[in-house]
Amino acid sequence: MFGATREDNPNPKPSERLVLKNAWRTSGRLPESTLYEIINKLQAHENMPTLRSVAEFVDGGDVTIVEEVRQGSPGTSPKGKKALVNQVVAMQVSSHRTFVGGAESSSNDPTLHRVVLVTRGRSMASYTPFVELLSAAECAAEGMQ
Amino acid sequence: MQLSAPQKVCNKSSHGRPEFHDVLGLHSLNRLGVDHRDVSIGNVFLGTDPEKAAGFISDLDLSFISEEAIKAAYPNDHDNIIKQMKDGEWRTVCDRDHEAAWTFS
Repeated sequence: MFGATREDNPNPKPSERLVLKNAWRTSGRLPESTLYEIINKLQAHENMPTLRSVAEFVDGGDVTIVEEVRQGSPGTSPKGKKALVNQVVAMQVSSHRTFVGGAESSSNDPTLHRVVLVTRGRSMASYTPFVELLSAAECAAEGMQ
Repeated sequence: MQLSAPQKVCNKSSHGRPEFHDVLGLHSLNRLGVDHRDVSIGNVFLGTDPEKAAGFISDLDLSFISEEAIKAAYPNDHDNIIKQMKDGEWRTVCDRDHEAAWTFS
């Protein structure tokens, strides 16, 4: 987790600071940013409950890098090899591993994913009065009844 | 710097129960068709904004969302999103000797 700000707001007030989550997500699962986008879309519909105790999503997506890939058939290249072209692709452990010698291979090949949230908070473990802990737990968990 | 605790615990009706249009965290996600599936101390936070709820839930990366919810959000493009949902097994990280694994459809 990191503090973040909008590009056009280099000196944000405390209330304008954003939260950047940077994590490797399992490839093949729905990205967290897509889930938040679906929730925001549903929220725009009528008769939908207002979310109060769920982090508010601003933006997000997979981190991309430019990677050289071979394209075309060998016959079309003068030397009989496929042509190398630059392509923007999602950054995965398999591509990142080239920078980390001896890194363990992962069969899931996770993808680097970022989510920007507007809701700021503190770890539950940092509570001071006990009622603060109970209030936070109530807001997040009361719906489990 | 000492942060002041939010004054309001949560908005409630005069009966002390959450209002229909102001329901809380997990319950409101459930109503939208989202099952969080990773409720833990690391994913529940103390709010720092006095104008907002005293706590909130985050980290939806292990959440499950129903196909009905996806279809409602994207009536014309839901097939592409549903295709991204992994079918089969997913795992959570825990004790290597007792690693948990679940399957979902």
